[in-house]
Amino acid sequence: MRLVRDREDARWMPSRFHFALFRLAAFLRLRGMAPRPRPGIILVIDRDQSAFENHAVSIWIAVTLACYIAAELPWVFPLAILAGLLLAFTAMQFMVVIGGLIVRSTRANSIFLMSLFILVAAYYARATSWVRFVGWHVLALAALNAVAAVIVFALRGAIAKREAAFAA
Amino acid sequence: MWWRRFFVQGVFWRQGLRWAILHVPLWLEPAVMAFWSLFFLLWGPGRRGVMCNLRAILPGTWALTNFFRTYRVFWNFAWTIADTVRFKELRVAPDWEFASLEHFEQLRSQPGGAIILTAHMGNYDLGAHLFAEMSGRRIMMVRAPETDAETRQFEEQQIARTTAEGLTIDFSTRASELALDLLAALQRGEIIAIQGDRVTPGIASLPATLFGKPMHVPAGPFALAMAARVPIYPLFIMRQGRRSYRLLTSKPFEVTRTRDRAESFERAVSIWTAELETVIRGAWFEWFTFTPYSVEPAA
Repeated sequence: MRLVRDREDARWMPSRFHFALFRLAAFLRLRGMAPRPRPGIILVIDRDQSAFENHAVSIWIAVTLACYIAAELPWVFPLAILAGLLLAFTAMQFMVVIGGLIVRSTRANSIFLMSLFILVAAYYARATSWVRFVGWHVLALAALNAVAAVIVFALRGAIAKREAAFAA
Repeated sequence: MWWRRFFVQGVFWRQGLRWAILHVPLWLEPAVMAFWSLFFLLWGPGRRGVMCNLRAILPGTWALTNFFRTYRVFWNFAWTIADTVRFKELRVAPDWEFASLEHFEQLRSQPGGAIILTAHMGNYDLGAHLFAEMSGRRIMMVRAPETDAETRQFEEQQIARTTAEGLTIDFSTRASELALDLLAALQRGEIIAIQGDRVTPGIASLPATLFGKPMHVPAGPFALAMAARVPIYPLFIMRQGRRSYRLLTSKPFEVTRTRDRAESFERAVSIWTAELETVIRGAWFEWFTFTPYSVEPAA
């Protein structure tokens, strides 16, 4: 378990983020920051530590799934989206369990579920109704994250150097 | 009866939580938490217990508002137990912030034994594990056992497998032998952590008042502090957000020996309940007491 003590700016260490887009954004934020000492704080370096990232991704997935479900329901939009949200949250629990039973680890389940999510987006991107825009935006964000991953890989030396400064 | 395992305190939910920690992707965790916190609102006695306590903590509030507040209590509880299991299984700790650092340092460097008096607030379980790992001091945590036999067995297996080095967990049911063990531990210079906001049946208690309502607090920590002449540190591990905690250590106090033991206890209990009231008032959403704390129903 890696820890950084007494440094508020360590919150923006890219290693505390999971997805490349967030890692890149964190690095850009960190680059422009002066050291911010704050006694009595201990920050853990773990790729799933960011509250903002995890809540944002979770909400994004739930709302996206709600849109897919709403598009399938023959009801007026507000009612369909409300039902879609409830069904999306319920469906997510089943998917997590099914994924976990098939692949049997957090990391493998993470890859499995994200791949499934992108596949479903590809399916809905081919639709003719409004829901195709929902599918497209998922594919666009997935592509953007892939580009960010390439940039983060290219910047790995600079990121490691910036993060090493916290150990000093 | 096999179906007892699906009761709210049954072993099924503990096993399910452990499974979830080992299988659920972290970026889906908030959605999973939101769903299951809502599901557990169906637990009538727990929901009513929290709502009853909220009426006493925040007088004059509407029942509907307290219903939503209860959801917040369940949401926080779900996160704290998940963080504990994650630490025990994967050794992934949350972020920490220390409030009143001077009292914490005083506790850490305390030459002899000390008593940490805490409550069912925030993540007391994880706090004890981290304190033992980070401070290098031996700590003995006393807690109430699970009421369900299968859950108790499961918990005991988990404790044996995952407890941090330097931490001993014991149960408050074997009162007389435990008191001697605790006294000996204090005299060896160890730290004892006890929850002082709930009394397990069969355990000696002292009368107290919390938010203007009568209640009882365990007598053990106060009697031990008096017998071993060690200070009591009120300490709370408050959840600040996802995988983020604040460790609040208050000014220590002593239970002085006088001719009138009852008066000494009364004074110490009033210091403790005043501290508890302040902390609960500011963080009612982290007080995980699912039964009415007062024998007298809240007005």
